[in-house]
Amino acid sequence: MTPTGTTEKEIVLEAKDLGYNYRKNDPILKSVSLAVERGDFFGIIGTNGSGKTTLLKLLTGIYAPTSGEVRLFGEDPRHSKKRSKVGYVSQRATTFDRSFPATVLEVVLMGRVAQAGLLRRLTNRDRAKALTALKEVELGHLANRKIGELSTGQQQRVVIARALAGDPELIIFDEPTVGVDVNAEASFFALLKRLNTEKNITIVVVTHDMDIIGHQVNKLMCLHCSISTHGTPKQFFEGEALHMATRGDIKLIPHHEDRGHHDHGHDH
Amino acid sequence: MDTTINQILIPLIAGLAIAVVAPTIGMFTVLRRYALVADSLAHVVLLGVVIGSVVGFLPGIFPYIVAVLAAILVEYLREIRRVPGESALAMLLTGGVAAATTLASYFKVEINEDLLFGALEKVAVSDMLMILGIGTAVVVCLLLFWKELVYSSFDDEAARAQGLPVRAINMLLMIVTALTVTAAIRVVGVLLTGALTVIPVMSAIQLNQGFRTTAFYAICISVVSVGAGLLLALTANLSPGGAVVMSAFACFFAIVGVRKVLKA
Repeated sequence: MTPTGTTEKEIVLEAKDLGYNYRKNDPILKSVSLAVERGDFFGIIGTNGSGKTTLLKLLTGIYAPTSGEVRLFGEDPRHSKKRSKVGYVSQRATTFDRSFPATVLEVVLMGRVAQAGLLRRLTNRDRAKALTALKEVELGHLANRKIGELSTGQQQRVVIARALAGDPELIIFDEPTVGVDVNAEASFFALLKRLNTEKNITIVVVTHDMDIIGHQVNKLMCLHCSISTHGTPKQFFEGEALHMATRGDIKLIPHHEDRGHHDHGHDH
Repeated sequence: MDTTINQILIPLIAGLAIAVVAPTIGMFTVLRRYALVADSLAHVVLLGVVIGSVVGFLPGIFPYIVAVLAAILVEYLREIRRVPGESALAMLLTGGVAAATTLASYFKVEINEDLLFGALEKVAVSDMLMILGIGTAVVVCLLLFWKELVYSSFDDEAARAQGLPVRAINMLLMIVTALTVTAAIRVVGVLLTGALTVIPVMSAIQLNQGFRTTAFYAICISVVSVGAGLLLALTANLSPGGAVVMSAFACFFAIVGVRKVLKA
């Protein structure tokens, strides 16, 4: 781990006034700002169509923003070599073709590809790293099984092991609980918590599932949310409603926009 | 005596080289749900052949140029999401045939059956050498980017997020596919070239192994299919493309059948 300053934590992922439109004058994202500090367990919540996937693609440098900028470890992710320090757990983790011919170990080894670099073969050291990562998620005994034979919860752990195999400083999850049953979900979030606290890996989770994320994250950002509550926003952020909604000591970062939070009507 | 041996050996060597290369490519195209790409590109080769005949100068080079250009175009359309992958292939296939037949009728060029179904007696030493050269280059390319190809076939989103050059890798795969099908057409013909990238891979997947092992089995199945098919074609004077693909199907159903029996 890089030593951080005593007063301020290092910002590993930052978005400044980010905007993106697929078509002219039809923005899917407008002025999104966020700052993920080292060690954060950062939740980004939004409904379907709120631009979650687009935001992820901007944050990981797959898309170039229409306006604003992204800094990943202080660099533009589109041209940064440090992208290999990011583990990425896509929805594909649990929705791939079951007949895909790969063993569990082969899938975990994919996590070493970016680290190894182009034109370099994976070595025994990569293999050892992959096995260690697999043991970390308690699936070492399944290394030679076919990935499609595992349960969805196990497959998800395999994909986390794949992320871990690359020695990540940051892991980004895209809708990780889609298609995973409730029991597996609980142990999945317990695993994330452990990686976050014990291994000091910064975690960003993007989801529509408020319920899950509420009692895990230490920071929560709302994408295109409109929060309905009694009283002023100030009261809301200081009051019981937020505490109840999130069940814990978290910091809510509203995503300001035209359609941002407004106070009226019924309780949250 | 010598000529007879050559008549068997030359197409056999050419065929076996294709038997190794085609399913190696197929591992990636099939798993990316892009199984029809080889077939579509093969149809575009027709256009290249017709252009070659019309131009008359170095006719052999035009099929390769046209196929590679088509591969680049279709991959570009897919990448910018103008056209969904599947539709892009359908347009490529039909567009290639339409342009070829139109051009052929205008310039009174004949598209003969050999081109569609393959003709072993017409495989020259130069064709064989071309196939061996292209085959070797393609396999080397695939081996160099093997781990990136595997990763992006399984989860291209994660591969992109980690900064792998997925676009370039996809483009490379399309180009080597175009080169391979063009080379293969001499032996198995336009209509059936694509089958060798798909059927042996599907057969090997039935065996339920890891990636490397599956690739290895796919190549073995393909070599057996091509070997048996070509020998059959040579001895019984059958259409080589048809005989090879029927052998590949025989392998597929044999594997499915045996697995069913073993499971029961």
